[in-house]
Amino acid sequence: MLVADREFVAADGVADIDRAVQEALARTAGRPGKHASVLAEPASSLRRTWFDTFDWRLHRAGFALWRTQRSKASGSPRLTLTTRDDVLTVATPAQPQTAARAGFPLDTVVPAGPMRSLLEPVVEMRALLPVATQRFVVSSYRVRNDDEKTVALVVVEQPLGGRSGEISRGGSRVKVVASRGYSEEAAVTARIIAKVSGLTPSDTSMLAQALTVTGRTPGDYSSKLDIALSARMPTEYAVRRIMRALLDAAQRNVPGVVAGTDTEFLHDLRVAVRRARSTLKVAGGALPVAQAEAASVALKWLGDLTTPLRDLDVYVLGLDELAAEVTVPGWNSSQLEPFREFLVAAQATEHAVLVRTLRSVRAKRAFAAWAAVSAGGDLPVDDIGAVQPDGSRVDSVAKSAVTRAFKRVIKAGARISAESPPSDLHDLRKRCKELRYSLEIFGSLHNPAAQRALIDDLKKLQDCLGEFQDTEVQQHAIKTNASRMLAADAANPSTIDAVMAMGRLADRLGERQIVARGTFALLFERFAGPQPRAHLAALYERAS
Amino acid sequence: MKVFATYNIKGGVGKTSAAVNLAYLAAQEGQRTLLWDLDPQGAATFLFRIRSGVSGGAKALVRGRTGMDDPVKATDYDNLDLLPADFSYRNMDLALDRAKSPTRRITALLATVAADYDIVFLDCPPSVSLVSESVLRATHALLVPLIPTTLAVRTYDQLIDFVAAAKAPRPTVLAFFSMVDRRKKLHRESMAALRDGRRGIAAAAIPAAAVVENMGPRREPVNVFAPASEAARAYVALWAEARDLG
Repeated sequence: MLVADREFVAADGVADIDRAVQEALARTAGRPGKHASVLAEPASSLRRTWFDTFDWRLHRAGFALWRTQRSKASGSPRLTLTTRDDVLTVATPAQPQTAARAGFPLDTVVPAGPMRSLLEPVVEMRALLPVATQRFVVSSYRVRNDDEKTVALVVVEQPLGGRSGEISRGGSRVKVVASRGYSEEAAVTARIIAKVSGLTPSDTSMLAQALTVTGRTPGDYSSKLDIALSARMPTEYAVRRIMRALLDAAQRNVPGVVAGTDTEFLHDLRVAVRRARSTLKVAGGALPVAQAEAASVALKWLGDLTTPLRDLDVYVLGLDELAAEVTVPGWNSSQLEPFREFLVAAQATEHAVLVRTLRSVRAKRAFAAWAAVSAGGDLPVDDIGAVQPDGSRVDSVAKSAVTRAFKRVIKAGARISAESPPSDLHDLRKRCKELRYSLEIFGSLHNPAAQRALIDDLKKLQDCLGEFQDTEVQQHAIKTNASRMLAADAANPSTIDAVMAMGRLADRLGERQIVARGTFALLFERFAGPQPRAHLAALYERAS
Repeated sequence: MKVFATYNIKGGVGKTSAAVNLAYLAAQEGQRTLLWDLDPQGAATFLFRIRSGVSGGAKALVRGRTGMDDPVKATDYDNLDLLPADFSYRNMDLALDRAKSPTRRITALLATVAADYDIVFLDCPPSVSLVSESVLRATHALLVPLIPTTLAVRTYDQLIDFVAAAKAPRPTVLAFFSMVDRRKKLHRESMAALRDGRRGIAAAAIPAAAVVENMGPRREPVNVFAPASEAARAYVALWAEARDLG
């Protein structure tokens, strides 16, 4: 394994950095304490494409993944994955086809093996997107000891610019990569390279440099809310600022929803819509009434529009896991294939409907109504003016919204007994979501430690209620889908087998629902106890 | 992490050549691979142009004073590292004998690098010893090169008995013919005799070929400098049979 050691960048306008590096290595070869020889590998041009998910999961995990295609050398493209402490390289016989969906499922980019195993838990259901591509001329020099063993690799990468394909004068990089176990020898090489005129140590990654062309920076999108509010902001401005950030998040996800790149685009779009609805609910009173009402109607419509496809996405994503939980004798999960095919076909139909609707005049109007309540939300903080004497400050609105939402959770939860119908738990789930969104929307006003702790308390309860509700809805959906499948193709024996297998799934969901119901009482008792209340009280204390 | 070992009671039968070439092929597939050269002669270490020597020697390694990953060196090939040989490995039996649970010691040492590697190859010295017993317990698949002579049948049966008598867990055994000269009647007959009624013998056979001998002067795996040769293709076929064992 090779371990990245030192990187240098050439100053703009430096001519032929490759020759300068080559000469420095040749000049020092054989000198006492230096390398014995240098083996130059044939220079070649290559195209490097970096991959990441839309929300930069690899970057956040400290990973970098790129594919290198040498145009002159024979052989297949190579994929390289660097983690915080490892470098893996693998040949990729199958190249992803041109991006019809602007992204690739992990298994079409990375062959089965250790690299994919490392990536799977990080990437999850997201597609890999080519985030940057750069073409280089690459020269490599194997720096060797007396045994002709490579102790370090010096790589000179000179970007090829524009359509002319000539070497650009700027942006050349020189890397000194130490072979494991030879760090001392590689350090000597790095010192030789550091003395080459025109080179300075690099403080940006290759990816960051490649991204400068695209105007993006690693980590420039996250589904987590990060809206900077200050306590003294007028409420109307704060609401517009929140609505602006949520509208941006929604609009950034729409192309991925339309292209069907992966299921998380729709998920994040829905979360932005729900957060926006909650914002209007708890603080929309600061806006002109007609504007707020129009936006509320538009947001409800947008939310409802996306529900059928999201429900299907959830089924398909969770089907294998659910099938693996069934342990009855003679269980054969392959009998579920007609069900999976049915769901996938329904997914395609719902996706087409959603895409058509998102392109409709009504959708444009809905986004316009959202934009109207966001207008002015991107003004610089200095331009917003002070709170009017009779106006409200966002911190007081936030405090009362969060406190009210908390009390409503406690009240709704306290009413639930062992005999309560599922709809009561569903209502409580909605109250929990309101509290969660209020906490997140106004997060920047809260004491960070108290915010984290209260969300942790709440999340446990939400997970339990989510499990209860999901199992309820999925059991119902299995029955509905089974009826539809039988109506469509009852004569086919595999349909009958599938429907029988779906019955097993429904049984398993029923078991899970009972467990969730059993856990609820304990979790709610904890949430209604002194600790979450203390965290609530600490929300508006200053961080120590 | 899966552990392979190339092992035979006899020396000079192609253990190291197999370990070097198969480890290279595993690494080329993208498996993070470590080759531990347990033979004090250090032939595998030499073939990768790496110098023998482990700080503190066998004793420090067995006692855990030297971490397993401290002496590891990168080879010149992607995904392939080597834990070098050390002349003190000739006394590894003694070091193991003084350790707690000696036959579990190599398993315990390998566990410390389990997160770093997908495949480990152990290139074993030719002997029946505490080292080989410890290797058997640590190994999922034992790859046994056999030169096709009259003695091969006897050697193979001795080895199967040795493995059967070892403490569990025991490895899956895959024997393969090595240094095969198909022009020799004796080789052909010996191969037929050994295959007769016995399972666990690979279809792939490594030929007696100059390219395999040339690994010495070239200090590279055959599959690097002569990938189209019969020997290189034989190693590819052998790896295809071995990779899913254990």
